[in-house]
Amino acid sequence: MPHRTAPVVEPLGDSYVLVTFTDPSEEERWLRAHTLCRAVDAAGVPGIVSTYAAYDTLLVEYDILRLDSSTLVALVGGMLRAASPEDEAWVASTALYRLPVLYGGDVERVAADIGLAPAEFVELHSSEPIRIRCRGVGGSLMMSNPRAVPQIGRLPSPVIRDNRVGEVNIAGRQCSLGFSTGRATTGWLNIGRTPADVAGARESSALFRPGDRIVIEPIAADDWSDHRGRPVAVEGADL
Amino acid sequence: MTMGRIGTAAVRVVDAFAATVQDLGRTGYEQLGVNRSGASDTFSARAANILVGNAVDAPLLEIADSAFAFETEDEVVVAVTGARAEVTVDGTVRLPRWEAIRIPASRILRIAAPEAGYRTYLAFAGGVQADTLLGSVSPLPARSFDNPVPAGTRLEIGPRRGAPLPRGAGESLAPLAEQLLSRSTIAVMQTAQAAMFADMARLYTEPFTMSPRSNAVGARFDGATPVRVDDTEITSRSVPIGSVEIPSSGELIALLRGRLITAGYPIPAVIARADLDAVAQLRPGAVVRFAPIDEDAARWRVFHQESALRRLLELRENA
Repeated sequence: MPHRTAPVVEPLGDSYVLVTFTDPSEEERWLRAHTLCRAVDAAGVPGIVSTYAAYDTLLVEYDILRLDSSTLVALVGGMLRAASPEDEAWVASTALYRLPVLYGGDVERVAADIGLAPAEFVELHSSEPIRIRCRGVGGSLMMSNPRAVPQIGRLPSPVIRDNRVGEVNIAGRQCSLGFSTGRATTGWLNIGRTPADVAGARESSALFRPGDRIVIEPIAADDWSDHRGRPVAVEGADL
Repeated sequence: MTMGRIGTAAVRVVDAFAATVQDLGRTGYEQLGVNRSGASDTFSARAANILVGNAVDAPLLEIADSAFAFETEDEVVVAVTGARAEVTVDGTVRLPRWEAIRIPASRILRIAAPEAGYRTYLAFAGGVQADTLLGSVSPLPARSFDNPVPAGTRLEIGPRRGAPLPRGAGESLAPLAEQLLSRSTIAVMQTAQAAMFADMARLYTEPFTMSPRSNAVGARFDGATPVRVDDTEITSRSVPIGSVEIPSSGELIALLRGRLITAGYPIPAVIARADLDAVAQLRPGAVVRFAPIDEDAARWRVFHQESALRRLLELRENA
Protein backbone atom coordinates (compact mmCIF):
# COMPACT_ATOMS: atom_id res chain seq x y z
CA MET A 1 0.00 0.00 0.00
CA PRO A 2 1.46 3.42 -0.91
CA HIS A 3 2.44 5.76 1.88
CA ARG A 4 -0.68 7.35 3.26
CA THR A 5 -1.45 10.27 5.49
CA ALA A 6 -2.77 9.45 8.96
CA PRO A 7 -6.40 10.64 9.22
CA VAL A 8 -7.59 13.07 11.86
CA VAL A 9 -9.72 11.22 14.43
CA GLU A 10 -11.66 13.54 16.74
CA PRO A 11 -14.57 13.19 19.16
CA LEU A 12 -17.58 15.42 18.36
CA GLY A 13 -19.54 15.68 21.59
CA ASP A 14 -20.32 12.70 23.80
CA SER A 15 -21.79 10.37 21.15
CA TYR A 16 -19.79 10.77 17.92
CA VAL A 17 -16.28 10.35 16.55
CA LEU A 18 -15.33 11.93 13.20
CA VAL A 19 -12.53 10.48 11.07
CA THR A 20 -11.25 12.87 8.37
CA PHE A 21 -8.87 11.67 5.67
CA THR A 22 -6.40 14.22 4.34
CA ASP A 23 -4.60 12.35 1.55
CA PRO A 24 -3.82 14.55 -1.49
CA SER A 25 -6.06 12.56 -3.85
CA GLU A 26 -9.83 13.07 -3.58
CA GLU A 27 -10.35 9.51 -4.84
CA GLU A 28 -8.08 8.13 -2.12
CA ARG A 29 -9.73 10.12 0.68
CA TRP A 30 -13.14 8.88 -0.40
CA LEU A 31 -12.00 5.26 -0.85
CA ARG A 32 -10.33 5.15 2.57
CA ALA A 33 -13.37 6.66 4.31
CA HIS A 34 -15.75 4.15 2.75
CA THR A 35 -13.41 1.19 3.25
CA LEU A 36 -13.10 2.09 6.93
CA CYS A 37 -16.89 2.46 7.15
CA ARG A 38 -17.34 -1.05 5.75
CA ALA A 39 -14.78 -2.40 8.24
CA VAL A 40 -16.54 -0.72 11.19
CA ASP A 41 -19.93 -2.02 10.01
CA ALA A 42 -18.56 -5.54 9.52
CA ALA A 43 -16.93 -5.58 12.95
CA GLY A 44 -20.33 -5.27 14.64
CA VAL A 45 -18.90 -3.41 17.62
CA PRO A 46 -21.46 -3.40 20.48
CA GLY A 47 -22.50 0.17 21.26
CA ILE A 48 -22.02 1.60 17.75
CA VAL A 49 -25.36 3.13 16.72
CA SER A 50 -24.71 4.35 13.16
CA THR A 51 -22.00 5.07 10.62
CA TYR A 52 -21.93 7.48 7.70
CA ALA A 53 -19.09 7.91 5.23
CA ALA A 54 -19.23 10.98 2.97
CA TYR A 55 -16.58 12.44 0.60
CA ASP A 56 -13.57 12.29 2.90
CA THR A 57 -14.99 11.55 6.34
CA LEU A 58 -16.55 8.82 8.44
CA LEU A 59 -18.88 9.79 11.29
CA VAL A 60 -19.42 7.06 13.89
CA GLU A 61 -22.27 7.44 16.39
CA TYR A 62 -22.06 5.45 19.63
CA ASP A 63 -23.98 4.91 22.85
CA ILE A 64 -22.12 6.67 25.65
CA LEU A 65 -23.37 4.08 28.15
CA ARG A 66 -21.76 1.22 26.18
CA LEU A 67 -18.63 2.81 24.67
CA ASP A 68 -16.43 5.82 25.31
CA SER A 69 -14.65 8.06 22.84
CA SER A 70 -11.12 6.90 23.73
CA THR A 71 -12.06 3.23 23.25
CA LEU A 72 -13.68 4.04 19.92
CA VAL A 73 -10.71 6.16 18.78
CA ALA A 74 -8.39 3.27 19.71
CA LEU A 75 -10.59 0.76 17.85
CA VAL A 76 -10.60 2.92 14.72
CA GLY A 77 -6.81 3.32 14.99
CA GLY A 78 -6.44 -0.46 15.21
CA MET A 79 -8.64 -0.99 12.17
CA LEU A 80 -6.63 1.55 10.16
CA ARG A 81 -3.35 -0.16 11.09
CA ALA A 82 -4.77 -3.58 10.19
CA ALA A 83 -6.07 -2.38 6.78
CA SER A 84 -4.67 -4.16 3.73
CA PRO A 85 -4.98 -3.45 -0.02
CA GLU A 86 -7.48 -6.33 -0.33
CA ASP A 87 -9.91 -4.37 1.85
CA GLU A 88 -10.30 -1.92 -1.02
CA ALA A 89 -11.06 -4.57 -3.64
CA TRP A 90 -14.81 -3.91 -3.26
CA VAL A 91 -14.49 -0.75 -5.34
CA ALA A 92 -13.51 -2.79 -8.43
CA SER A 93 -16.79 -4.71 -8.46
CA THR A 94 -19.24 -1.85 -8.27
CA ALA A 95 -22.21 -1.40 -10.60
CA LEU A 96 -22.51 0.93 -13.58
CA TYR A 97 -25.75 2.75 -14.44
CA ARG A 98 -26.66 4.38 -17.73
CA LEU A 99 -28.77 7.39 -16.91
CA PRO A 100 -30.59 9.34 -19.63
CA VAL A 101 -30.59 13.06 -18.74
CA LEU A 102 -32.28 15.95 -20.47
CA TYR A 103 -29.97 18.88 -19.74
CA GLY A 104 -31.74 22.18 -19.12
CA GLY A 105 -32.69 24.38 -16.17
CA ASP A 106 -29.75 26.61 -15.26
CA VAL A 107 -27.39 24.92 -17.72
CA GLU A 108 -26.91 28.05 -19.87
CA ARG A 109 -25.96 30.09 -16.83
CA VAL A 110 -23.60 27.39 -15.51
CA ALA A 111 -21.93 27.02 -18.91
CA ALA A 112 -21.57 30.79 -19.32
CA ASP A 113 -19.99 31.07 -15.86
CA ILE A 114 -17.13 28.85 -16.95
CA GLY A 115 -16.87 30.28 -20.48
CA LEU A 116 -18.48 27.44 -22.41
CA ALA A 117 -21.40 27.09 -24.79
CA PRO A 118 -24.21 24.97 -23.30
CA ALA A 119 -23.48 22.11 -25.71
CA GLU A 120 -19.79 22.14 -24.73
CA PHE A 121 -20.70 22.01 -21.06
CA VAL A 122 -23.06 19.06 -21.63
CA GLU A 123 -20.36 17.19 -23.53
CA LEU A 124 -17.83 17.84 -20.76
CA HIS A 125 -20.19 16.95 -17.92
CA SER A 126 -21.18 13.63 -19.51
CA SER A 127 -17.66 12.80 -20.71
CA GLU A 128 -16.79 10.08 -18.19
CA PRO A 129 -18.49 7.85 -15.60
CA ILE A 130 -18.86 9.58 -12.24
CA ARG A 131 -18.88 7.82 -8.89
CA ILE A 132 -21.60 7.94 -6.26
CA ARG A 133 -19.72 9.27 -3.21
CA CYS A 134 -22.55 8.93 -0.70
CA ARG A 135 -26.32 9.28 -0.34
CA GLY A 136 -27.44 12.73 0.76
CA VAL A 137 -30.67 14.25 2.02
CA GLY A 138 -33.71 12.29 0.91
CA GLY A 139 -31.45 9.57 -0.52
CA SER A 140 -30.00 11.80 -3.24
CA LEU A 141 -26.91 10.54 -5.05
CA MET A 142 -23.95 12.74 -4.11
CA MET A 143 -21.27 12.62 -6.82
CA SER A 144 -18.20 14.48 -8.04
CA ASN A 145 -18.20 16.14 -11.44
CA PRO A 146 -15.83 14.80 -14.12
CA ARG A 147 -12.37 16.14 -13.35
CA ALA A 148 -12.35 18.38 -16.45
CA VAL A 149 -15.36 20.40 -15.20
CA PRO A 150 -14.16 23.54 -13.41
CA GLN A 151 -15.49 24.61 -10.02
CA ILE A 152 -19.10 25.83 -10.31
CA GLY A 153 -20.17 28.69 -8.02
CA ARG A 154 -23.15 28.22 -5.70
CA LEU A 155 -26.02 30.68 -5.83
CA PRO A 156 -24.90 33.82 -3.98
CA SER A 157 -28.03 33.59 -1.86
CA PRO A 158 -29.93 30.30 -1.31
CA VAL A 159 -33.39 30.06 -2.85
CA ILE A 160 -36.51 28.07 -1.98
CA ARG A 161 -37.33 25.62 -4.73
CA ASP A 162 -39.79 22.81 -5.38
CA ASN A 163 -37.78 19.63 -5.81
CA ARG A 164 -38.74 16.99 -8.37
CA VAL A 165 -37.54 13.41 -8.41
CA GLY A 166 -34.69 12.86 -10.87
CA GLU A 167 -33.23 16.37 -10.94
CA VAL A 168 -29.51 16.76 -11.57
CA ASN A 169 -28.01 19.62 -9.56
CA ILE A 170 -24.52 21.08 -9.37
CA ALA A 171 -22.39 23.13 -6.94
CA GLY A 172 -18.64 23.43 -6.48
CA ARG A 173 -17.04 20.19 -7.68
CA GLN A 174 -20.07 18.16 -6.75
CA CYS A 175 -23.23 17.14 -8.55
CA SER A 176 -26.24 15.24 -7.32
CA LEU A 177 -29.25 13.30 -8.49
CA GLY A 178 -32.19 14.18 -6.27
CA PHE A 179 -34.92 11.86 -5.03
CA SER A 180 -36.66 14.45 -2.85
CA THR A 181 -39.98 16.07 -3.42
CA GLY A 182 -41.33 19.12 -1.66
CA ARG A 183 -39.85 22.55 -0.99
CA ALA A 184 -36.29 23.02 0.15
CA THR A 185 -33.76 25.82 0.51
CA THR A 186 -30.75 25.33 -1.71
CA GLY A 187 -27.73 27.11 -3.12
CA TRP A 188 -27.26 24.50 -5.84
CA LEU A 189 -28.08 25.01 -9.53
CA ASN A 190 -30.26 22.66 -11.56
CA ILE A 191 -28.76 21.42 -14.82
CA GLY A 192 -31.26 18.80 -15.93
CA ARG A 193 -33.46 15.88 -15.07
CA THR A 194 -33.71 12.20 -15.86
CA PRO A 195 -37.02 10.77 -17.12
CA ALA A 196 -36.02 7.29 -15.91
CA ASP A 197 -37.68 5.65 -12.91
CA VAL A 198 -35.12 6.28 -10.18
CA ALA A 199 -37.55 6.76 -7.28
CA GLY A 200 -38.35 3.06 -7.12
CA ALA A 201 -34.72 2.27 -6.33
CA ARG A 202 -34.06 4.90 -3.68
CA GLU A 203 -34.66 2.66 -0.67
CA SER A 204 -32.87 -0.36 -2.05
CA SER A 205 -29.60 -1.03 -0.30
CA ALA A 206 -28.48 -2.95 -3.41
CA LEU A 207 -28.90 -0.10 -5.90
CA PHE A 208 -27.10 3.24 -6.17
CA ARG A 209 -24.49 2.29 -3.58
CA PRO A 210 -21.48 4.46 -2.80
CA GLY A 211 -18.82 3.50 -5.31
CA ASP A 212 -21.25 2.67 -8.10
CA ARG A 213 -20.70 4.70 -11.28
CA ILE A 214 -23.14 6.69 -13.37
CA VAL A 215 -22.76 7.26 -17.10
CA ILE A 216 -24.89 10.25 -18.05
CA GLU A 217 -26.36 9.88 -21.55
CA PRO A 218 -27.70 13.25 -22.74
CA ILE A 219 -31.03 13.03 -24.51
CA ALA A 220 -33.01 15.45 -26.65
CA ALA A 221 -36.33 16.89 -25.47
CA ASP A 222 -38.11 14.86 -28.14
CA ASP A 223 -36.78 11.64 -26.57
CA TRP A 224 -38.11 12.38 -23.05
CA SER A 225 -41.32 10.40 -23.42
CA ASP A 226 -39.43 7.37 -24.80
CA HIS A 227 -37.43 7.17 -21.55
CA ARG A 228 -40.09 8.28 -19.10
CA GLY A 229 -40.73 5.81 -16.29
CA ARG A 230 -38.33 3.21 -17.66
CA PRO A 231 -35.94 1.48 -15.26
CA VAL A 232 -32.31 2.58 -15.29
CA ALA A 233 -29.99 0.25 -17.21
CA VAL A 234 -27.54 -1.31 -14.77
CA GLU A 235 -24.49 -3.53 -15.23
CA GLY A 236 -22.88 -5.46 -12.39
CA ALA A 237 -25.31 -4.79 -9.53
CA ASP A 238 -25.51 -7.64 -7.06
CA LEU A 239 -29.31 -7.88 -7.01
CA MET B 1 -60.37 11.36 8.10
CA THR B 2 -59.53 8.01 9.64
CA MET B 3 -55.95 7.23 10.45
CA GLY B 4 -54.45 3.78 10.47
CA ARG B 5 -55.86 0.31 10.23
CA ILE B 6 -58.10 -1.72 12.45
CA GLY B 7 -57.72 -0.82 16.08
CA THR B 8 -59.27 -2.13 19.26
CA ALA B 9 -60.46 1.31 20.37
CA ALA B 10 -60.81 4.72 18.80
CA VAL B 11 -60.96 8.40 19.68
CA ARG B 12 -62.10 11.35 17.60
CA VAL B 13 -59.93 14.48 17.64
CA VAL B 14 -62.05 17.58 18.30
CA ASP B 15 -59.36 20.25 18.72
CA ALA B 16 -55.84 20.24 17.32
CA PHE B 17 -53.40 22.74 15.85
CA ALA B 18 -49.92 21.21 15.62
CA ALA B 19 -50.11 17.52 16.51
CA THR B 20 -48.26 14.70 14.73
CA VAL B 21 -47.83 10.98 15.27
CA GLN B 22 -44.26 10.24 16.34
CA ASP B 23 -42.06 7.42 17.53
CA LEU B 24 -38.31 7.36 18.09
CA GLY B 25 -37.55 7.84 14.39
CA ARG B 26 -35.31 5.92 12.03
CA THR B 27 -32.00 4.35 12.96
CA GLY B 28 -30.01 2.31 10.46
CA TYR B 29 -30.95 4.20 7.30
CA GLU B 30 -28.28 6.90 7.62
CA GLN B 31 -26.30 5.56 4.66
CA LEU B 32 -29.43 5.99 2.51
CA GLY B 33 -29.47 9.66 3.52
CA VAL B 34 -32.31 9.27 6.00
CA ASN B 35 -32.09 11.32 9.20
CA ARG B 36 -33.16 10.16 12.67
CA SER B 37 -36.20 12.39 13.28
CA GLY B 38 -38.83 11.12 15.71
CA ALA B 39 -40.08 12.68 18.95
CA SER B 40 -37.96 15.74 19.76
CA ASP B 41 -38.05 15.07 23.55
CA THR B 42 -37.35 11.35 23.71
CA PHE B 43 -37.36 11.19 27.52
CA SER B 44 -40.96 12.38 27.75
CA ALA B 45 -42.07 10.25 24.80
CA ARG B 46 -40.52 7.07 26.18
CA ALA B 47 -41.87 7.76 29.67
CA ALA B 48 -45.42 8.19 28.32
CA ASN B 49 -45.21 4.85 26.51
CA ILE B 50 -43.74 3.01 29.51
CA LEU B 51 -46.46 4.40 31.82
CA VAL B 52 -49.30 3.04 29.65
CA GLY B 53 -47.64 -0.36 29.11
CA ASN B 54 -46.39 0.18 25.54
CA ALA B 55 -43.03 -0.56 23.97
CA VAL B 56 -40.86 2.56 24.45
CA ASP B 57 -40.98 3.31 20.72
CA ALA B 58 -44.74 2.88 20.19
CA PRO B 59 -46.42 5.58 18.06
CA LEU B 60 -47.79 8.43 20.18
CA LEU B 61 -48.79 12.05 19.67
CA GLU B 62 -46.44 15.02 19.89
CA ILE B 63 -48.36 18.27 20.38
CA ALA B 64 -46.29 21.40 19.73
CA ASP B 65 -47.16 24.52 21.75
CA SER B 66 -50.92 24.18 21.33
CA ALA B 67 -54.08 22.72 22.85
CA PHE B 68 -55.44 19.31 21.90
CA ALA B 69 -58.72 17.54 22.66
CA PHE B 70 -60.38 14.27 21.73
CA GLU B 71 -63.59 12.38 22.46
CA THR B 72 -63.36 8.70 23.36
CA GLU B 73 -65.48 6.20 21.42
CA ASP B 74 -64.27 3.40 23.70
CA GLU B 75 -62.42 3.21 26.99
CA VAL B 76 -58.75 4.15 26.56
CA VAL B 77 -55.73 4.40 28.87
CA VAL B 78 -53.53 7.46 28.32
CA ALA B 79 -50.51 9.23 29.78
CA VAL B 80 -49.59 12.89 29.19
CA THR B 81 -45.95 13.93 29.61
CA GLY B 82 -43.57 16.62 28.36
CA ALA B 83 -44.58 20.27 28.56
CA ARG B 84 -46.56 21.42 31.63
CA ALA B 85 -50.20 21.78 30.56
CA GLU B 86 -53.54 21.41 32.30
CA VAL B 87 -55.29 18.13 31.46
CA THR B 88 -59.03 17.86 32.06
CA VAL B 89 -61.87 15.44 31.36
CA ASP B 90 -65.24 16.88 30.34
CA GLY B 91 -64.00 20.32 31.29
CA THR B 92 -64.12 19.74 35.01
CA VAL B 93 -61.98 16.91 36.33
CA ARG B 94 -58.26 17.74 36.40
CA LEU B 95 -55.99 14.83 35.67
CA PRO B 96 -52.38 14.30 36.73
CA ARG B 97 -49.60 14.21 34.14
CA TRP B 98 -46.83 11.56 34.09
CA GLU B 99 -49.36 8.91 35.11
CA ALA B 100 -51.48 6.26 33.32
CA ILE B 101 -55.17 7.25 33.43
CA ARG B 102 -58.19 5.22 32.36
CA ILE B 103 -60.73 7.31 30.39
CA PRO B 104 -64.19 5.76 29.87
CA ALA B 105 -66.07 5.96 26.57
CA SER B 106 -67.83 9.17 25.48
CA ARG B 107 -65.63 11.57 27.46
CA ILE B 108 -63.70 14.57 26.18
CA LEU B 109 -60.09 14.83 27.27
CA ARG B 110 -58.54 18.25 26.77
CA ILE B 111 -54.88 19.20 27.03
CA ALA B 112 -54.42 22.96 27.29
CA ALA B 113 -51.60 24.86 25.57
CA PRO B 114 -48.36 24.53 27.59
CA GLU B 115 -47.63 26.79 30.57
CA ALA B 116 -43.99 25.65 30.56
CA GLY B 117 -42.12 23.70 27.92
CA TYR B 118 -43.03 23.42 24.25
CA ARG B 119 -43.96 19.82 23.36
CA THR B 120 -46.60 17.68 25.06
CA TYR B 121 -46.70 13.90 24.56
CA LEU B 122 -49.89 11.84 24.62
CA ALA B 123 -49.56 8.04 24.66
CA PHE B 124 -52.46 5.60 24.34
CA ALA B 125 -52.15 2.07 25.74
CA GLY B 126 -51.84 -0.02 22.56
CA GLY B 127 -50.25 2.79 20.55
CA VAL B 128 -51.70 4.96 17.78
CA GLN B 129 -52.17 3.24 14.42
CA ALA B 130 -50.53 5.21 11.60
CA ASP B 131 -48.77 4.76 8.27
CA THR B 132 -45.07 4.01 8.38
CA LEU B 133 -42.14 4.82 6.08
CA LEU B 134 -38.88 2.92 6.58
CA GLY B 135 -40.20 1.44 9.80
CA SER B 136 -41.26 4.69 11.47
CA VAL B 137 -44.42 6.80 11.71
CA SER B 138 -42.43 10.02 12.21
CA PRO B 139 -42.57 12.74 9.54
CA LEU B 140 -39.78 12.75 6.94
CA PRO B 141 -40.12 16.05 5.05
CA ALA B 142 -37.56 15.13 2.36
CA ARG B 143 -39.91 12.37 1.31
CA SER B 144 -43.10 14.41 1.79
CA PHE B 145 -44.08 11.87 4.46
CA ASP B 146 -46.14 13.22 7.31
CA ASN B 147 -48.63 11.97 9.90
CA PRO B 148 -50.46 15.13 10.97
CA VAL B 149 -53.42 14.84 13.34
CA PRO B 150 -55.87 17.66 12.53
CA ALA B 151 -59.25 18.12 14.20
CA GLY B 152 -61.70 15.58 12.83
CA THR B 153 -59.18 12.73 12.71
CA ARG B 154 -60.42 9.39 14.01
CA LEU B 155 -57.45 7.77 15.72
CA GLU B 156 -57.43 3.99 15.91
CA ILE B 157 -55.68 2.55 18.96
CA GLY B 158 -53.85 -0.78 18.67
CA PRO B 159 -54.17 -3.83 20.91
CA ARG B 160 -52.68 -3.39 24.39
CA ARG B 161 -49.41 -5.18 25.01
CA GLY B 162 -48.83 -4.81 28.73
CA ALA B 163 -50.59 -3.50 31.81
CA PRO B 164 -50.31 0.22 32.57
CA LEU B 165 -48.27 1.19 35.61
CA PRO B 166 -50.21 1.76 38.83
CA ARG B 167 -51.02 5.21 40.18
CA GLY B 168 -48.02 7.02 41.60
CA ALA B 169 -45.46 5.03 39.61
CA GLY B 170 -44.53 8.08 37.56
CA GLU B 171 -43.78 10.22 40.62
CA SER B 172 -40.16 9.10 40.58
CA LEU B 173 -39.78 10.99 37.27
CA ALA B 174 -41.00 14.31 38.69
CA PRO B 175 -37.56 15.85 39.41
CA LEU B 176 -36.27 14.97 35.94
CA ALA B 177 -39.54 16.13 34.34
CA GLU B 178 -39.22 19.52 36.05
CA GLN B 179 -35.56 19.85 35.06
CA LEU B 180 -36.56 19.26 31.44
CA LEU B 181 -38.78 22.32 31.50
CA SER B 182 -36.63 24.71 33.51
CA ARG B 183 -33.19 24.32 31.98
CA SER B 184 -31.39 27.63 31.55
CA THR B 185 -27.88 26.18 31.17
CA ILE B 186 -27.17 23.85 28.28
CA ALA B 187 -24.12 21.60 28.51
CA VAL B 188 -21.85 21.43 25.46
CA MET B 189 -18.57 19.77 24.53
CA GLN B 190 -16.20 21.92 22.49
CA THR B 191 -14.61 20.35 19.41
CA ALA B 192 -11.33 20.89 17.56
CA GLN B 193 -13.30 22.88 14.96
CA ALA B 194 -13.65 25.66 17.55
CA ALA B 195 -10.23 26.76 16.25
CA MET B 196 -12.04 28.13 13.18
CA PHE B 197 -13.68 30.79 15.39
CA ALA B 198 -12.48 33.86 17.26
CA ASP B 199 -13.92 34.76 20.67
CA MET B 200 -15.03 31.19 21.46
CA ALA B 201 -15.36 32.31 25.09
CA ARG B 202 -18.53 34.17 24.08
CA LEU B 203 -20.29 30.81 23.77
CA TYR B 204 -19.93 30.44 27.56
CA THR B 205 -20.25 34.03 28.70
CA GLU B 206 -23.03 35.50 26.55
CA PRO B 207 -26.78 34.82 26.90
CA PHE B 208 -28.59 33.34 23.88
CA THR B 209 -32.29 33.82 23.14
CA MET B 210 -34.37 31.07 21.52
CA SER B 211 -35.82 32.27 18.20
CA PRO B 212 -39.38 31.57 16.98
CA ARG B 213 -37.82 30.27 13.74
CA SER B 214 -36.86 27.06 15.56
CA ASN B 215 -38.26 23.70 14.45
CA ALA B 216 -37.58 19.97 14.71
CA VAL B 217 -34.51 20.36 12.48
CA GLY B 218 -32.82 22.94 14.66
CA ALA B 219 -33.27 25.21 17.65
CA ARG B 220 -32.19 28.70 16.60
CA PHE B 221 -30.74 31.25 19.01
CA ASP B 222 -29.84 34.92 18.72
CA GLY B 223 -26.88 36.29 20.65
CA ALA B 224 -23.29 37.50 20.53
CA THR B 225 -21.80 34.40 18.90
CA PRO B 226 -18.16 33.54 18.38
CA VAL B 227 -17.02 34.79 14.95
CA ARG B 228 -15.83 32.47 12.20
CA VAL B 229 -12.38 33.57 11.07
CA ASP B 230 -11.29 30.51 9.07
CA ASP B 231 -13.38 30.32 5.90
CA THR B 232 -11.82 27.11 4.57
CA GLU B 233 -14.47 25.32 2.49
CA ILE B 234 -15.73 22.23 4.33
CA THR B 235 -16.73 19.30 2.12
CA SER B 236 -20.18 17.95 3.01
CA ARG B 237 -20.04 15.37 5.81
CA SER B 238 -22.42 13.94 8.32
CA VAL B 239 -22.89 15.99 11.47
CA PRO B 240 -24.02 14.95 14.97
CA ILE B 241 -27.47 15.48 16.39
CA GLY B 242 -26.78 18.28 18.87
CA SER B 243 -24.27 20.05 16.61
CA VAL B 244 -23.86 23.76 17.24
CA GLU B 245 -23.59 25.68 13.96
CA ILE B 246 -22.90 29.40 13.60
CA PRO B 247 -23.93 30.14 9.99
CA SER B 248 -23.44 33.89 10.43
CA SER B 249 -22.45 36.21 13.21
CA GLY B 250 -25.26 36.56 15.75
CA GLU B 251 -27.05 33.38 14.78
CA LEU B 252 -26.54 29.97 16.42
CA ILE B 253 -28.33 26.75 15.47
CA ALA B 254 -28.45 23.64 17.66
CA LEU B 255 -29.31 20.73 15.37
CA LEU B 256 -32.04 18.46 16.76
CA ARG B 257 -33.15 14.97 15.72
CA GLY B 258 -34.67 16.26 12.47
CA ARG B 259 -31.25 17.48 11.32
CA LEU B 260 -30.33 16.71 7.72
CA ILE B 261 -27.79 13.93 7.38
CA THR B 262 -25.03 16.07 5.83
CA ALA B 263 -23.91 19.69 6.21
CA GLY B 264 -20.98 21.90 5.33
CA TYR B 265 -20.67 24.24 8.34
CA PRO B 266 -18.00 23.88 11.02
CA ILE B 267 -19.19 22.42 14.35
CA PRO B 268 -17.37 24.26 17.18
CA ALA B 269 -19.35 22.47 19.91
CA VAL B 270 -21.91 19.70 20.38
CA ILE B 271 -24.71 19.70 22.95
CA ALA B 272 -24.49 16.93 25.54
CA ARG B 273 -26.91 14.10 24.78
CA ALA B 274 -28.47 14.51 28.24
CA ASP B 275 -29.55 18.08 27.39
CA LEU B 276 -31.06 17.54 23.92
CA ASP B 277 -34.56 16.88 25.26
CA ALA B 278 -34.40 20.06 27.37
CA VAL B 279 -33.43 22.08 24.26
CA ALA B 280 -36.47 20.61 22.45
CA GLN B 281 -38.65 21.92 25.31
CA LEU B 282 -37.37 25.53 25.17
CA ARG B 283 -39.90 28.15 24.20
CA PRO B 284 -39.21 31.06 21.82
CA GLY B 285 -37.83 33.90 23.93
CA ALA B 286 -36.20 31.58 26.44
CA VAL B 287 -32.74 32.81 27.47
CA VAL B 288 -30.05 30.18 27.96
CA ARG B 289 -26.34 29.98 28.59
CA PHE B 290 -24.02 27.28 27.36
CA ALA B 291 -21.57 25.61 29.75
CA PRO B 292 -18.75 23.15 29.05
CA ILE B 293 -19.08 19.58 30.29
CA ASP B 294 -16.57 16.72 30.13
CA GLU B 295 -17.29 13.23 28.88
CA ASP B 296 -17.50 11.62 32.32
CA ALA B 297 -20.03 14.15 33.58
CA ALA B 298 -22.00 13.87 30.33
CA ARG B 299 -22.11 10.08 30.69
CA TRP B 300 -23.25 10.29 34.30
CA ARG B 301 -26.16 12.53 33.36
CA VAL B 302 -27.28 10.17 30.59
CA PHE B 303 -26.98 7.26 33.04
CA HIS B 304 -29.11 9.13 35.58
CA GLN B 305 -31.89 9.75 33.02
CA GLU B 306 -31.81 6.27 31.55
CA SER B 307 -31.84 4.70 35.04
CA ALA B 308 -35.08 6.52 35.85
CA LEU B 309 -36.75 5.06 32.74
CA ARG B 310 -35.22 1.62 33.36
CA ARG B 311 -36.63 1.56 36.92
CA LEU B 312 -40.10 2.25 35.50
CA LEU B 313 -39.69 -0.61 33.03
CA GLU B 314 -38.58 -2.90 35.86
CA LEU B 315 -41.67 -1.94 37.85
CA ARG B 316 -43.74 -3.11 34.91
CA GLU B 317 -41.83 -6.36 34.50
CA ASN B 318 -42.13 -7.14 38.21
CA ALA B 319 -45.84 -6.31 38.34
